[in-house]
Amino acid sequence: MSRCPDDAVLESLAEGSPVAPDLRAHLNECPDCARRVRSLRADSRLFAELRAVASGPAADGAPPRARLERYRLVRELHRGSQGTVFEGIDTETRDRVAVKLLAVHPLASRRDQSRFEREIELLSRLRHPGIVPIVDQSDGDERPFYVMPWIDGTHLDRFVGDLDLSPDERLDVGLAIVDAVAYAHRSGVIHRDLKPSNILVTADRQPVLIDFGLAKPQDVRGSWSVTESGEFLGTLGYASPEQLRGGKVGTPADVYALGVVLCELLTGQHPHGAARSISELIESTDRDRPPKLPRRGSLLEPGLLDILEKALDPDPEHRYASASELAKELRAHRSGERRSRRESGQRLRRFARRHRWSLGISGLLAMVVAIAGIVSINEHLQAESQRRTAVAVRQILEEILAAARPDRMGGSVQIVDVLDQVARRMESSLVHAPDAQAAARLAIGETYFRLMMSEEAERHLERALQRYRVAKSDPAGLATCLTMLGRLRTGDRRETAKGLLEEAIAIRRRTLPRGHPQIAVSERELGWAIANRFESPDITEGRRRIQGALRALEGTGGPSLEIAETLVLLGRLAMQVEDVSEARDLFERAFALAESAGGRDDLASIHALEGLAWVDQHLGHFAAAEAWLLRLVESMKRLVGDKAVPSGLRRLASLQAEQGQLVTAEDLHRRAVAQELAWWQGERPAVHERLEELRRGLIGDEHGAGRLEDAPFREAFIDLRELRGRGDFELSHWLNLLAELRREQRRPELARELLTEALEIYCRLYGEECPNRTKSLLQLAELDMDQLRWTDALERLDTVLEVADRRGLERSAVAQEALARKQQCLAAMEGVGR
Amino acid sequence: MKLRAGTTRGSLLERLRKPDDGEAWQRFFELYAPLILSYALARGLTRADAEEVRDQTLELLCRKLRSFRYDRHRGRFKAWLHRIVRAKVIDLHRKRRHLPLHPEDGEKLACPTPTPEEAWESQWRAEHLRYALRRLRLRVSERDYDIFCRLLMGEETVEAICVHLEINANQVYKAKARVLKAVRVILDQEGLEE
Repeated sequence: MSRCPDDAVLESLAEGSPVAPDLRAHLNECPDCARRVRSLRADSRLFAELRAVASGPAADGAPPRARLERYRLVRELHRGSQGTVFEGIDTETRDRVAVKLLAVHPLASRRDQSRFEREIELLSRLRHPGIVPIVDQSDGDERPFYVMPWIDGTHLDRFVGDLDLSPDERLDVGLAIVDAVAYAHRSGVIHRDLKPSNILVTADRQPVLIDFGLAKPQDVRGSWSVTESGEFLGTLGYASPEQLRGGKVGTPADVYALGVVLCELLTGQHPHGAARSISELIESTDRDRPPKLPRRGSLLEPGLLDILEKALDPDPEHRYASASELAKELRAHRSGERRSRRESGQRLRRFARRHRWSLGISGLLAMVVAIAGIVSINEHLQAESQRRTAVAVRQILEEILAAARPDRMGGSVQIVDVLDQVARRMESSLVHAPDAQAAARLAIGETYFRLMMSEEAERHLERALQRYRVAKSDPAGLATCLTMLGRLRTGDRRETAKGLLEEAIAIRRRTLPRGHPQIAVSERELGWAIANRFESPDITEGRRRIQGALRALEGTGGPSLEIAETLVLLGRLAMQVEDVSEARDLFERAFALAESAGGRDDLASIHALEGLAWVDQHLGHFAAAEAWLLRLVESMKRLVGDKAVPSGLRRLASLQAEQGQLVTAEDLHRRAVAQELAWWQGERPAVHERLEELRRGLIGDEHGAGRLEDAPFREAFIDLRELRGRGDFELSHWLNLLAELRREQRRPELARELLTEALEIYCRLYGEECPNRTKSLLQLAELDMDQLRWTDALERLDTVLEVADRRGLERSAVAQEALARKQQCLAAMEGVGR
Repeated sequence: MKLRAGTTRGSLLERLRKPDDGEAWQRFFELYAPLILSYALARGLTRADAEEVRDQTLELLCRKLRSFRYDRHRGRFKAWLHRIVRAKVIDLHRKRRHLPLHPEDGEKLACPTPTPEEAWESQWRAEHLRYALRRLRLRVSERDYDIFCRLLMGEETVEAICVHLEINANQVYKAKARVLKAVRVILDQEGLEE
């Protein structure tokens, strides 16, 4: 027998190398070696499996790694919304490379791909030592990727922290960064996401810009609207104010980001101070002021500070127009040529900004004067017919409300006060003119509706409806009133919504010419009600109707804002069936339309922003979602003032929780709750809606809920009990919420007590068969199941199913859920744990 | 004692009956949390929903395992866990899809998904392997680990490793064999058998 080969030979055999004849002969003779080869083959299989697992993306649902035959992906470096960057090896040259792969998501749209292609296109246009080049890219239909040389460098922030550089050395690095951006600007490319983590610095101190994922070509006019692209992006803290606001973004936005980067590089501090959390960004307005860089004790010369302040000016018009200009100034400064001209416009600009506030006050004054006028006009008109009175009053009111656009004022409190005052005056001075009263109530209700104060809106609209029913002389007003009320009625009153809307459609069909946009608006609302009806929503039918309304509105050239609103509703329905790319298109169209119609702070635009945030959150594009939310909050703040802050905080909190940032989420939640409580005590607003949101927000993120302190909830609960009285409907929501918390805290007995109290309220108010009662029963059953009280749970579930049967709702979500739980119960009773 | 193939070894599960065995629980979460998550994702749930499934299932497991008695004849933990996770996934699908789909959407939503069994099998295996890779560090020498990682990542050829670490090819293969053995031990002790 020949000599046994060594391990290396057997190993290569196991890995599939061809077997030489003499080796084969040896293996036939030597059982030891044959066994070794078998075991090595098993090893080789295991090794292949391990390699697949190790080099594939982490277990987060990303598809198996792309077949990049030439490049072997070694490890993941960075995962962004758009793509993932891997460290890789070029198997042909054995060079280390960086590979960016397009994120492939089951719901990713073709647009993501075309954006990725644009990034490749832009990047391959640029050849500069300060910009990472593309060395290879995908070709054909495989998963798109591109390859960059490996840059052995550190991120700018760490580079600065690690090395003890002199101010001059820092300035040199800064200037090299500005030069690279200036080159990109000259080549017609805007980076849009400049920040330290997108800048690598090599050992010889050459900064290199990476990640052009958000870059955009400049158009001929030198700027373009982000809304056209439908995606704001950037990074909080580095994004320019116009980026956050959703204005035109051009080269000055990059200049702003460079200003921040330079400031950090040169002073070691962010221009707006160290702690800039998201919530601070929302709550503060100081980003509308030019930053005041500390002059005293600063190592920097005043000339350099001037340059930074100009780069950081909130108004893009006042910044350097491009990075080239900034570079020129920095160079001039470095070569000792101090800037002789100081910015003289600064003080004037500050004055102008202050002046804007006084405009708000004068607007309010105008409104008060006008209201004083109504009464006298009203007296003057008493001889006229009631009908004409109504028309006149409505016109006047509309004028007032148009004059005092809430977005031009500091907040909504004043408007609310004024509206209430108007309502009271109307009531007393128009006793004999129900039409006029109705019209006034309608106008007020409409305003509250636009201010997103649903409960107040509903209260006024209901009164308007009563008056219209008495007066019977203004079908147009009646139809408007019915449509808006129909829209507002949600939750357990959706069935009545349908009736109201059907009536509105009938009236409008009778009184308006065929194809009038108003008819389409009512039809649309009916479609929405159908798609969202409480027990058995018919989304297909609802969608069909809304699409019909959209065609009618577009066909007749209806108001853009109504078309936008219609698109938003379709977008929401698309989200409900998880057709995310369709939803995104709809929301984007709606947003663009609302903006171009000048309704930046209109509800349609706000709803569209909400939708866009929803889409991005759903897709896990958290940075994008966050940016939409910021803009949403900005708009809401202009519309309703600081009241918008808690809801913004809450949305951000759930976003944070989804990203696993539980501590931040908890903090945001707590602040939202605290602000909200303060506000309730002061104003008694639409508690119902707020609570619903709060509940959704809290229970929506499981991690957050259990960790929240329950003290504020308990306090709020006690407050509410005082405010509303025991047994009030609103209390039931709190009871549910608290019960949910107790359940999280594993205090089932307390949870049970609270749920039982809620149950009693439902029974008393709405009877045995109300949907809320069945839902509570379901919750109680789940509690029973937690505590392994299977028989109790079964009994409750059977009650739920019985009620559903009686009401013909056996296919409803609640019934289905109950059925599923029942099966779980039964399974558990004979399950493993027994 | 030799267990049947694919049977989860009882010891970890036995240890979990003691609620204060922190290490056992730690290992348990390390292994099963990603497994459940990736299974739910593979079954077409959104990330948020998949996380919900994961959390609900783990919570349920925490409760159940205290009273769980490992019984080789009664059933396999693997199948039992699959039954639970699968039910939760279906629950969520039902919750999300209780709205009838628009006919036009059918096409877009019909992305090919593996059968539940396939998904479970492949995720089970992949997660156990990932888990083994994570725990490997504690069980093999630093040198062996280093060599193995170089091989696994394909960063360097065997020859390059030899040059770099000044060893011969046989030593590389020996190290690889030792590490793979350690992988088997981990899989055998804590998860499924080869």
